Amino acid sequence: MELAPQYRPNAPSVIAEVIDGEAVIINLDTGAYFAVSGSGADVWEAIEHGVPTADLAANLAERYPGGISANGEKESFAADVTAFLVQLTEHALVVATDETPPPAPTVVPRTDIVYATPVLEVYTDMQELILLDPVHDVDAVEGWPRAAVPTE
Amino acid sequence: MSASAATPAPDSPAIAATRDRLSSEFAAAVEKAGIHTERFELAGLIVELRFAGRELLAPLHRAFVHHRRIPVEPSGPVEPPGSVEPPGSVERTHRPPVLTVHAWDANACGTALPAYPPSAIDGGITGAQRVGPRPDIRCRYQPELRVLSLLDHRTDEAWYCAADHTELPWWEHAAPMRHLLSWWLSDHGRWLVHGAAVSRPRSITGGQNAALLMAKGGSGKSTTSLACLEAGMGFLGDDYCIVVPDGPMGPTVHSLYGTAKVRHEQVAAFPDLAAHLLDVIPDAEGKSVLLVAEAHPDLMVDEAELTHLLVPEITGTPPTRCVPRAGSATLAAAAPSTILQLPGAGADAFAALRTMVDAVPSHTLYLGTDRRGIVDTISDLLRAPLVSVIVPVYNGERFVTGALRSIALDGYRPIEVVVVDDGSTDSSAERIEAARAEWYTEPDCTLVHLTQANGGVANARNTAARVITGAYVAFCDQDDEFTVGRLGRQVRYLQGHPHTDLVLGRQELSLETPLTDWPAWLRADPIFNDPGGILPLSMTVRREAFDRAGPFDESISGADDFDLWVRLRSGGCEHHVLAEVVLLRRIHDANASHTQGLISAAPMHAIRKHLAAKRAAATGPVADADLSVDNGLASSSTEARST
Repeated sequence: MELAPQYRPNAPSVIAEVIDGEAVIINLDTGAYFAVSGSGADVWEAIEHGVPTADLAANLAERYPGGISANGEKESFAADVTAFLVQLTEHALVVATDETPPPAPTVVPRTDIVYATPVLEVYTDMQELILLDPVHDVDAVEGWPRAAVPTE
Repeated sequence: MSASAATPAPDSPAIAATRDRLSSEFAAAVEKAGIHTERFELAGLIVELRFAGRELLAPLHRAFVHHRRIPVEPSGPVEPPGSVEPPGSVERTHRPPVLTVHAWDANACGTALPAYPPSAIDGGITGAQRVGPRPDIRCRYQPELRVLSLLDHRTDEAWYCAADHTELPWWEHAAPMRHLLSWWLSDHGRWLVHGAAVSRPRSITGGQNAALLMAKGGSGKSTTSLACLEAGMGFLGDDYCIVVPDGPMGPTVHSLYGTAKVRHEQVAAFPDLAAHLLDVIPDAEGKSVLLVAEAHPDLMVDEAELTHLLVPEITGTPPTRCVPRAGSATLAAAAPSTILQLPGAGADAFAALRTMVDAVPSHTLYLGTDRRGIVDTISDLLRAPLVSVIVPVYNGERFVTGALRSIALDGYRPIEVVVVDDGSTDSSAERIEAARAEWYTEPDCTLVHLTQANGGVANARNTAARVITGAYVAFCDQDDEFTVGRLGRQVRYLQGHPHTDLVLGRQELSLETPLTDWPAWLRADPIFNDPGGILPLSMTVRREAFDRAGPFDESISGADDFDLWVRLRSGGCEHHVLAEVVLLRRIHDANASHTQGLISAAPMHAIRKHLAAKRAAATGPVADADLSVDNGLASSSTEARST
């Protein structure tokens, strides 16, 4: 498939959160949820920051300067990014966007882990629940004690 | 009158002519023999019986003496009460009849049976009339009784002309005018079913829970219902009852006839009742009519919540036991005898039975030979379980009164409401106390009011969870309201489905001023396409399942309810979603302005926790059985909600 020049997370259908190097992504339309860590979480964060598709591989290369993948080929960054993006689009987790890319984020090289091909874990065991309660009333998150939020 | 379109039957001119003949001949009979009128309430509707002469009075009215009498004239004298009240009590206010039945003995009144169209012989039970729209007028001639019955659905007028009252068989005394009444009742959402019904008080303060025993003749319905009657339980009928499958509080069952059909050897087993056998000649089977309403007026029950369907089977061994059975199996057992016994009943009667079977738990009742055991089994089954409702409140003065009122008005008993005031600084405490004084004054409708320092909604729910004593647990937030009858619906579902642990239901949203538009974040669920979807705390959950999955996670207060649901589910609990609205949820200016980011937080917290728990339980980080890269579910779900 041909990739778009730029992607963004498919909000509001998709919600995601990256904590401790792991992205958890929920597709509220399908009820599936996803987990990805390491390089995949890095790509997800780069997409969130508006990094264009063409720059994602370079972004990864900066992130993993020692950065040889398991099979020792530098080119695997580009191939991995492409394969991962295909997965993300297949699960409707990202959509093409033509927003002007923001300035490229500063990339902090990782030294704690070696590069590995992104693995998107797909879970459907809570599908029914997520679909039934697609928007959870969050009164209590901000409103217990309930904050008096003006309507407009 | 039913809204269904009427199609003229091929012989409708003949039927119309029969109607006119019956009308004029009744007038002639009244001229000759005088008129006697009585009026009573049947399943919430008013029936008036007009007798020309008195020959049919005894055969036709003794089965109805337990129903509440209604004065015939607006200012006239009330009918003498037939018995102590209730039942059979006398209402002081006049209400016009919905059905008027004209009855007479043609022979005694010197008239003849009017001519009837050929289709009246089978009462219009030919295939076309079973499935097609019902005709305007239905007519039936029963050769074995020599009775001509006719109902004009358009005017709610009926005629019942017997050639000779002395020829009426014993069973017409037990269940008079069955066809007329069945036709007419179905116009009003009430269905005559072939079954016996017995009841026990739902709560100390009133209301009855009933079991409907459905099976073909000879399976122990009469014996069982009479054994229950002897033991002091409520009695609604031994052979025919009226069911309202979709009443506001759920299905109800109503008494029709205050009689029982008994064999002589059965009477020997119930010596107290022997004096109330109707003096008619028993048939070849040795059966006769027992006037239950005269023998035990105090035990006749007019109306009860239908909480159990029982299909009896005789075992021949002493003990009685009850085993849950599939609703479809009950339908298969019950539908043929109900529908085949009622000429003209068809697809709509089947649909009504289906609604009833879906809403009411079914059991097979393996009848033992020890009568006491039968009674105890049914009585235990009908004892309503206690439901605990957890209500956390923080500064809820605006809506908490309505929430607490709605729970009491739900009508389920026995109920225990545990309100935890989580350190409110407004007038919530006073309002909770006022609600208790007004709505929670019955012994089986109680409110426990706890107060604590502010600890968050999950903490408040846990405080309540520590003191509840019910067998089932439900939840109500301070700005939500219960719909009437929801707890009964949910409890009945759980009673009928032993493998289901929690029952959810739909919500109906209402917009509170000053809001004028729905918040953009309200997404729809894929089943009903309702905005806002199905809320986790619309659930009524079995206490054991709740205790196993709980407590609420106070570290993710606000996401704690979704989290509990996820844990119930991952612990193997099955859920079901009712198609009925169980809660009314207000969208107001304090909960309407959430941003997407805040909304995301709740499922995200719960899913993260769940994922961590899965990984901890698994041998490797990605070794879950349900892990897959492409399962096809995602795309089908997308289609399902693409509307």
